[in-house]
Amino acid sequence: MSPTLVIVGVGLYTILMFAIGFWGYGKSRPSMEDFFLGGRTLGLFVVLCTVWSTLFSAYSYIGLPGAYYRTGISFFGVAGNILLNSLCMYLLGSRMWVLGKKHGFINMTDLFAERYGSNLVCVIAMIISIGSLLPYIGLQIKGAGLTLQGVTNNVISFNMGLLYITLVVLFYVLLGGFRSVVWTDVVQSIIMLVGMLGAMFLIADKVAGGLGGVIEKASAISPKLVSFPGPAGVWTPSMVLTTAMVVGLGGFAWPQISQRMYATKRLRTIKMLAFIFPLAALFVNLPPIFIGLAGRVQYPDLKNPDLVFPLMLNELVPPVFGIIIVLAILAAIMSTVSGQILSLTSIIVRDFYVRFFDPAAATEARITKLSRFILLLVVAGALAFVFWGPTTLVGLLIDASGPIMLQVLVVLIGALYWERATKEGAIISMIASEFFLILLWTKVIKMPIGGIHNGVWAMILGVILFFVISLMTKPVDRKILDKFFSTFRE
Amino acid sequence: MSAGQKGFLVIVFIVLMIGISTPFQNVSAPIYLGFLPAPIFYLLIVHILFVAFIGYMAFFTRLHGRAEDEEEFLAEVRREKEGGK
Repeated sequence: MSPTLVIVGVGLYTILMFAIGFWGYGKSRPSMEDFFLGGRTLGLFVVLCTVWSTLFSAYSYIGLPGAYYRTGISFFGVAGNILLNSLCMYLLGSRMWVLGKKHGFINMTDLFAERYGSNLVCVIAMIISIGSLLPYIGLQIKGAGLTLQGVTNNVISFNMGLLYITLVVLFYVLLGGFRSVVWTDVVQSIIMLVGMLGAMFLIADKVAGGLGGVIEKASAISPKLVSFPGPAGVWTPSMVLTTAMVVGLGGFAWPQISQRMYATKRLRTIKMLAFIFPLAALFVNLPPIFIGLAGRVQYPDLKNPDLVFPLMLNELVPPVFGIIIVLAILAAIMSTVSGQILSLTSIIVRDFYVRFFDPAAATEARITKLSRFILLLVVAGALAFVFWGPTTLVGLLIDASGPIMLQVLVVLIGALYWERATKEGAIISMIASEFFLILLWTKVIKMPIGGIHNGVWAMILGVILFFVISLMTKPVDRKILDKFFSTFRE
Repeated sequence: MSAGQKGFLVIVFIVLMIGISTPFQNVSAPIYLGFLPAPIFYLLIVHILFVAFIGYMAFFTRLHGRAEDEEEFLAEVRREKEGGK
């Protein structure tokens, strides 16, 4: 692919992102609710695009085709996570919306503080959220640098690519906050959709004369590539189900996703989102099957299957369309990173600074200015952590980002549906299950039954502790419970 | 929502979770619509049934109590905010 063509395409895309950043700035008002939630005014189309593009990262373009290359169609079992994620949008997101409208919550963590009557619950959830997201942000930015370096054959160096992504994302997030983020998400969703579908049809046609040809040729290589549990026998029913649970349920608890539930104008919008999102997600989840298997047909002996998509991009796709796919990958990275850094900033500002140091300033304009400064620190911290953090810890946090947040989801479900849930139950459940997860992940403890995801074992422990300790401790004050649950009674 | 209705929804949910877990192991044929291998086709059916399940709960039950009456709820919130000023 010609480096000049890439630079021109990326340049035009950057101008568009900057224009949206300026537009968002023009519309913004100096309040936390506006900077972090866009004034709670999102409609269905915009919220669908922003959740869609934020949830699907560069992994959908690079990682998924590689996974299908290795394991055949059996990896599609994990796509069931979207159904559980959408179920959470309805069951939990709707209630979060109601409570957000009524009490002005911005994050999941400030809801915890009020519901459990405990700043400690809020702080623990905040630390877990930061630990889960910070390395992920750094990794995405690093991935963008590598992508630009690769597709331009080093004309854009890794450092230049990294700097470019960081500056563009910071520019539009700092200027317009949430409003700029969601509208860039809309544009990025369209680019991602065109890139993914176009790549699927072009590559399948080139390799095997169409989608059906890819499946037939893959099946001829090995019938295990088109059946469960796949060539390595990994995707058994228990593994499929528990992995889908970890990714889907943990994915909802990610701050950048759960926070979007507060941002819609109507309750009906959340319901429609939960209904439509699983169908929209198929446009991201189905194409990598055909791309990955086409790669297996075309290059049967790749040592690193994660390179299969970039390889086909360079060799099989016309250069002009290749640019769209490169932009789609950058769009996937930027949309995820921008959502992550904004939601992490909102947690630090609202649940740390305002809660502990400046409670009277919750709606003042200077908090918005401070938010912009914290945002810079979040990005710097994410990059520093990935480049200079302890390798084992960084790897663990990236691998276990979903399972880590799954343990917080247990406390969220309790907060919204179980009046008897207490702060002691929430605190011990989160700490013990995260600690247990680390022991499982580092193989200090090995469970006797195989084929079940580590995150689910930790969740089971968390649920038991949450339930037992909540019943053993003093219930939350009746006035607080009425404040939360009265609206949900008939 | 009555206890019977809740019980029915829980049973449907369990059946759908079994569907998600891909009980159709070691099945690779036939290929549906010329490009969908049997396991993918079956999973897509489960997908659509699950979406219908979410849709039923969202639009035909009152799981969130009074908040389901959205206009009244929003008016109540407005009244509370105006009263607080």
